[in-house]
Amino acid sequence: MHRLSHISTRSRSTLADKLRSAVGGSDYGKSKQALAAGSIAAKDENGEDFRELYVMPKRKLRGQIQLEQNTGRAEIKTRSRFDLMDRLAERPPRSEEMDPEKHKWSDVWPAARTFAASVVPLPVRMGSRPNVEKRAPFKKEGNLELVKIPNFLHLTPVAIKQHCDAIKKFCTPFPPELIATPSLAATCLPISVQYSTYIHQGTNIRDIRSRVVTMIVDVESLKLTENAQEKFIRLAGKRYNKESKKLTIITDRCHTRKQNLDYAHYLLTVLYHEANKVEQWAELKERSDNLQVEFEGSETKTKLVDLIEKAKTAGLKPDESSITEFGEMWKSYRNSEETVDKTREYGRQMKKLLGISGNN
Amino acid sequence: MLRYLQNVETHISHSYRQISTTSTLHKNRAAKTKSTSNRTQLLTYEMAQKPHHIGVRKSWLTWHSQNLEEFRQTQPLVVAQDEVVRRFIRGFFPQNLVVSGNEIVIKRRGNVLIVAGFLQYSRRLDIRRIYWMFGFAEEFLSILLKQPVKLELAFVESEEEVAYNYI
Repeated sequence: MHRLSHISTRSRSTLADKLRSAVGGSDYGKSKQALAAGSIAAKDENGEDFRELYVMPKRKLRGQIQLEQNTGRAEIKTRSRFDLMDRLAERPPRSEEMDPEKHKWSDVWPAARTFAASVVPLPVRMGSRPNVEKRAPFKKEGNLELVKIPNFLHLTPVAIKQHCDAIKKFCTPFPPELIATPSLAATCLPISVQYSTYIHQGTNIRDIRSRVVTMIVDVESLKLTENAQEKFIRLAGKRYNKESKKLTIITDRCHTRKQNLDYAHYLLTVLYHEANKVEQWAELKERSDNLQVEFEGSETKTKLVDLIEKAKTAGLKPDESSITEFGEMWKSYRNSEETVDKTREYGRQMKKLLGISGNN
Repeated sequence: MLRYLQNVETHISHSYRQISTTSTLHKNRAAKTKSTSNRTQLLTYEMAQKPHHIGVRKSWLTWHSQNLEEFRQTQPLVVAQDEVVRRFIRGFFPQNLVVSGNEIVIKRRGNVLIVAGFLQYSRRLDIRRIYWMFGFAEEFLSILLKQPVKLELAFVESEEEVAYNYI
């Protein structure tokens, strides 16, 4: 149907006429003849049409028109620009149009965006000049330096306050007790978890390093028995810090942070329950298997007690009450590296214990 | 003649290799602008910077974290993406380019890629067409690079707006 309609429109064209006449041959050029007869009714003596010789087209050529226009013989027709409507629709820049006092700036510039000279109503300039006194730095419009640098025009104090007010309903206040006494945090919050978040720019914003979780546990707060604590420390190995009495578990074997955190909690649970177990062979433990040398039950103590007894009989005045103090000193002396100060302290305590007065 | 030949012979026998240490006289140097007689050559701020300013005042045309130490995950990909974006913008806005599209700033914020810079409308101002082209370019580049792409290209009236100096 479509094709038929197409043919029908074509059939009215002059080309179709020509083709038809070429096939038929009878009335070829009739319309043209009629046209010629209308315009130029010139015939020669034999009654035939006067056929014009083609020299050049009847219209004026472009070059001729231009020549006439330049010499003033023809008037120049001025045409409006093809993009006139768009150019008329052009408005002055917003920075000039807006009233900074009435407009809310956070509505004009709500989010992070590249600097736009037409929007920002600030008389800023940027760029270096060899001699600034002679010539001011580069202007605001068309300044690529201003476009390059990140701006914080969306982070005005008012905008930040607005943002904080908006998210306030989702927040709970920080416990004031913890602010008042920072030492409370160690007892109330015995487990602390540390992890890092990495920010990337690009197609892939993930970072494999963010999976690592470090968990620090205060071992004192686990309230283990003495034997269990010793077993706990032995199981923990290097992860236990003697000075701070804290256990540090670093997990990085799973793919995500959550998995690693779960795994850290699992490890702590297992460690706790394993430490509380008492095996049959644990009873075979001897004094020499202890982690530290103990004063209680040591040979030194029995000898000291003996010595004090002897000193009493000899007429000296030994300080019996300071034996516990001596015990603590002795324990730290035996269980840590020997220094000059510690050795002096040892001597001083011993003299005090035995009641030997004098200048060293 | 014979004497000359003899001379040549001795010269050959005493010839040895050496390095020329004389500095060559290169009048034309890279990245140095040449002034015209009537001061018509347009220079943007970027062009006006000397070669020793590269990396300081010049060449901050791409902003991302992949250049940083320990953050180089996909640095080559970023470089390739930059080139794709620049070529696309140059080819897609041929009538609106300023300084033949050499100064297009590409910023990355999170996974968003932001194209900033200047275009001019002195040849043809067709607002509807420009909106359409912006939309098309954003959509096309987003699909191509598999990440959101935003065009923040600002319009200046003509290239003279970005001229820092004429030499």
